[in-house]
Amino acid sequence: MCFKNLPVEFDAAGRAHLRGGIPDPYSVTVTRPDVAMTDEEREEQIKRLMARNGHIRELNMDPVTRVAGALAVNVTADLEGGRYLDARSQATLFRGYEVIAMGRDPRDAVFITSRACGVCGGVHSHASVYAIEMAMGLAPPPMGTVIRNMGEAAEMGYDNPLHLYLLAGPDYSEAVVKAVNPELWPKAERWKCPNQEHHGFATMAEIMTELNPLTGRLYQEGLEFTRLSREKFVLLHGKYPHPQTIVPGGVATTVTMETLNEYHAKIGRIFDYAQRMVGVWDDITEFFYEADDRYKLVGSRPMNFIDNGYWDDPYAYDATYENCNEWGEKRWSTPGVIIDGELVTTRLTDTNIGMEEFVEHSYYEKWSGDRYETDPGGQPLSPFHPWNKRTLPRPSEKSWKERYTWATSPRWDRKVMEAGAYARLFLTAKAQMHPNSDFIEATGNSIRMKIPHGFRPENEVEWKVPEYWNAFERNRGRAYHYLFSQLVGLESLLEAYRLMKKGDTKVAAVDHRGLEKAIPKDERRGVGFWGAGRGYLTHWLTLDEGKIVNYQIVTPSTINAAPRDPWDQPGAYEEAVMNTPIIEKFSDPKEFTSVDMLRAIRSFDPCMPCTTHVHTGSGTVVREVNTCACGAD
Amino acid sequence: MALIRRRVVIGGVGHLYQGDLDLGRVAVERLGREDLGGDVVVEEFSYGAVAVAQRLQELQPELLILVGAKERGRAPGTVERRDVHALTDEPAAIQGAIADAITGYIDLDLVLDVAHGLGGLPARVVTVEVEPASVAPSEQLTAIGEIALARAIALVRAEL
Repeated sequence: MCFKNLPVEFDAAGRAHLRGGIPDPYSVTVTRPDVAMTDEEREEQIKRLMARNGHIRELNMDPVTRVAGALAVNVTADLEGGRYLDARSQATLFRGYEVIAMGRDPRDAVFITSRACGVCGGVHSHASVYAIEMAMGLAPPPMGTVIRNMGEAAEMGYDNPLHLYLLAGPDYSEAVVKAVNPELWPKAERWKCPNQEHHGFATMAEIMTELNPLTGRLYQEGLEFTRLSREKFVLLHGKYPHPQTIVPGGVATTVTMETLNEYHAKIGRIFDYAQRMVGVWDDITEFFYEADDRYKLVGSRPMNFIDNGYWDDPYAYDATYENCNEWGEKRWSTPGVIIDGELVTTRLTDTNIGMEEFVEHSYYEKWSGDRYETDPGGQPLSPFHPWNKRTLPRPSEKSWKERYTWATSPRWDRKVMEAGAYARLFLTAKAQMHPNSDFIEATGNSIRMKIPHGFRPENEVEWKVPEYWNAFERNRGRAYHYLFSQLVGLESLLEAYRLMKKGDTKVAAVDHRGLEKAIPKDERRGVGFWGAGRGYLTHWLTLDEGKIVNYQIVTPSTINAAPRDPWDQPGAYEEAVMNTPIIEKFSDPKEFTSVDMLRAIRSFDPCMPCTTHVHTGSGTVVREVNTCACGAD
Repeated sequence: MALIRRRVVIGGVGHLYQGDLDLGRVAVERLGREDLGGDVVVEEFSYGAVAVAQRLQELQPELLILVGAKERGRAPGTVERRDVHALTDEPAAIQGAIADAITGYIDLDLVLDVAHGLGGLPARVVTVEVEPASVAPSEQLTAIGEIALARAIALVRAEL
């Protein structure tokens, strides 16, 4: 029984049903999660503290990035007590890809939704294609799936070092540490790195120096390896980002032995680097833990993760919802949900039917009207499920008690979840369902990864399910995920060679003429269970008369940057900030940089533009459902 | 790194269907249909500026022409040509731009700052900028935006 809050139970065959005898079972007042503290109680606590402590300050850390008005975090901090009492994550940027997609030919959605993010160059294309091909009933041939796997491994090879060395890394650099944690520098100079043999740095101070923005060797190397991965992706898909070769039913790529050999040459350079990467982030984590135990609380929150899994078994994936639990569990990283560190499901239908999106604190109207009561398999669906959602923008004044963000509140089983590349490691480690591999072995509590020899000899590393969950473990997990993804890329390359040897080189179910004919005229639903460098990514669509009549996207940053929900549960950023102690030293509040909070938020690999992807023109939806795409432009 | 030398690169920076902010993308879409000569490459740069900088390092142009819309408080439809000089060399500012680019923001100034910081800009850089009349989501440019687009394209052609 994976659901604790939703009134959903399972029969002996594993099919979900609504528990009987509950009127209006999905009502937010009927089915409520356990909540530790309501906003009213939180406010009372702050008032009490303010009455006896003059050090409570409200700080608007706006913007977290340099681009004004994109992501703001409003916090109430007790500077003397060294803690954050309240936090509100606000996304003020809004665009409109879901609405723009409506009324169009489904093939357009691949190119439109790709623009939801400028960094994640191919993941939205893939998620969109997965949703469309499910609705169309087009399964890719094995080589098509293998090429997708190789491309997406390359994309992770772009995203992960970009985040670790160009965004998060500078927070741990000599320049920043000397400025905000000067007490750590002498320790860093003395601290001998346990992983020196893997990364070559004798002390933590050396690592911190090489993390310096622009000039540090680790920074520059991170940049160089993103280039290498971008080149791998371009080899397969022609361009990065926004590829045009990911198509329903496969890919439109010409794959030759030369393509595979070039990919091989590039991936071969990555493994020494991956070994250095895990060594560096292992040592950073251990150094900070040793330096001050409170770092274990920076960005901490419960181990609640959701992920769709990633990289398909080319012989299992058939693009059907009916079989999604079978092909999902055969993915290289296992789909599912972890609650408080425990695996509760690996079934894609469970991750799907448990998902709801709430807008009580967002600039949207609630929706109503006709809805799907079940998924395509007859299992119950909430009225708040994305297949039932309508995007009804309602811009209004910001109010922390009412509406304050363009992000929504996705919840699974009415619990606050977290998305991240590291969720793939948790799920794969615990489920032990991944395909047989010479390089990857899940143990139930860890993943052992064998690093093929490069300039260095073959080696084995092990990511272990951490005891604590915080900013440092997110970064460490992302480093191991980089290695994991490249091993999947290698396994997929080897499969491509096998297929090539057999002459099995077909990469798409149909050509462009066949694709035109495959567009259904009846009502169909599809869901693209996929992922991004930042974790969970799902596209849902409904087609009717050959056009898109509903399109919904939940990105990893939608999940992580979510505001409060109907029960006052803070979103993941908000919760992580409230659990973060203020460790930095400052004598004057004006010197307060909030580096601990920034480390907490940046550890999620935030991507704000793809968090909010609904647009409005003066409060009205610009495109209407079911307009004829042929006359739209 | 594969080098593909081109004398001129014309890059458009825009936001799909975001009113006149889409102008840079539309401009290179139209310019891409013209015969501008074999040593001119026209590309869309409406994506993360770190990847744009890497692409520019591959192309190694002598002249980069960037075209796009940018809100700077000018009269709507204003078209400005600018020789780009004196970009910031301040490491914190460059890192700020890189962080923004990684966090997903797309902007003409970010392309300049990031590509400059990462050594991707050629010696000659020209921008052709338009002040948008509307940034509200729309699949078409405004009438003012269309007129400005024609002028911007003419300015780009004059650089060749």
